[in-house]
Amino acid sequence: MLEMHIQKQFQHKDRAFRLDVRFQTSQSRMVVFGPSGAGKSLTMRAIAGLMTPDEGHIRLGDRTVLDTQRSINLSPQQRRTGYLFQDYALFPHLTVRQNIAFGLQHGWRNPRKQAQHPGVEHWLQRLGIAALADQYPASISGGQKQRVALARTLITEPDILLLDEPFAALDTTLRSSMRQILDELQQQLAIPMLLITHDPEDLSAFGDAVLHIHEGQSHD
Amino acid sequence: MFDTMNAAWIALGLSLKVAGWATTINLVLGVAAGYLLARGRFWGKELLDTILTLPLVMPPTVLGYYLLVLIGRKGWLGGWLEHSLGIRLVFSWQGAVIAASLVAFPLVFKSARAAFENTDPQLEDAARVLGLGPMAIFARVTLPLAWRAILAGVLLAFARAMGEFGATLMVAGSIPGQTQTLSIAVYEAVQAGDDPLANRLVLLISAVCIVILLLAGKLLPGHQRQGSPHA
Repeated sequence: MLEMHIQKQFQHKDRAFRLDVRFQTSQSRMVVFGPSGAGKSLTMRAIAGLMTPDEGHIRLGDRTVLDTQRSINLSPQQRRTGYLFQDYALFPHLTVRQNIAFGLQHGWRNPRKQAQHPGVEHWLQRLGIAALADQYPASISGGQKQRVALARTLITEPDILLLDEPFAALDTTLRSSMRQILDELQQQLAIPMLLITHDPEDLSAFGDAVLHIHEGQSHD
Repeated sequence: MFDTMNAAWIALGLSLKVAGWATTINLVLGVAAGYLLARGRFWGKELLDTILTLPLVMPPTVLGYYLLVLIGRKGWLGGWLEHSLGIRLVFSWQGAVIAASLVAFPLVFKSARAAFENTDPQLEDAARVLGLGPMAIFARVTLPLAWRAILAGVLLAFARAMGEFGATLMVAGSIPGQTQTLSIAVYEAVQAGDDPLANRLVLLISAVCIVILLLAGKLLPGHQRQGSPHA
């Protein structure tokens, strides 16, 4: 499912950091596990195309999205990944409904406030956020924001779902309910999923394959 | 009485025309420069920022002198324009526009750079992963989040262009009805001992400036309703 080997050297003033991550699996539920500052998010950004490694290759299923030797480097727009950012990155100037519809059109105009798209209505219902459709992100809770971010990503039908510490900002009850929602969604949609965490419970729930990263280096 | 009023309105009309054009030019150039310096990574970036900010601190007469060197009849750009295209910028209202643009430019540029630097780059990343190209991201994410702060700077730039005196006088002179803007007309009226005209001109320009500042205050960040969609 996912096969990658990437290397990148970071130099900031007198601090140097070397990222060297090698990972290969056919499982579709993958966890990136490691302490903070280890390079987990960098690895995720490299998969999404938001960061370009110095050297290496990344294959998602049968698609090569990066291969520095063959000068292949698909843009984030071409990679068809779904990225769930740690603090959700919802667009503050758009309503929940507009946020979810955002990726459906790629032109110069944002979706209209009143516009009703069957896909958007479907995800609003399915994730239980229909009552919030006309609210702005500033006025909804963290758990609700996460559902909106999830709907915004899933509506674009990505080939892989990348989740950066999806439960870190939630309290314990919310965390277990979100974990269950994600678990069911993954099985229903059969979408491959890579999840960053440092919570052992996530590891047991989603870690069919585990990528351990420590100080920028991957371990088996 | 009628003549006095008429002269004041003509000067106001010219000031609005000059300031309007100067603001339009600055809106394009200032936003572009602000975006370039907020997002670009290149050598000499902060030096460029310093140079672009210079008009804010330099005496307008010095700026006017620079402009004369550049676009004057014997200036290297002005001489070429006059010889090959027959365009003369000095002592024309277009010259006044250039002078006002230069003086007010940093106000738009600075507020645009700050506004773009304050927008979360992660939101642009989110839009990229969702499939949007760079222009669509600018139009749908970056600009909507930054426009309030930019507009506040644009209004200040308009007010500054309205009040421009030194550089305009040096480049465009003081030709009534052609280059004599409101602020220059005040100076001329006082020099000529025409107190009634000076009084009217001063009241007129004060009123215009108060309106602009009130508008700018409404748009400045921190003046927004709680839970505003643009917070």
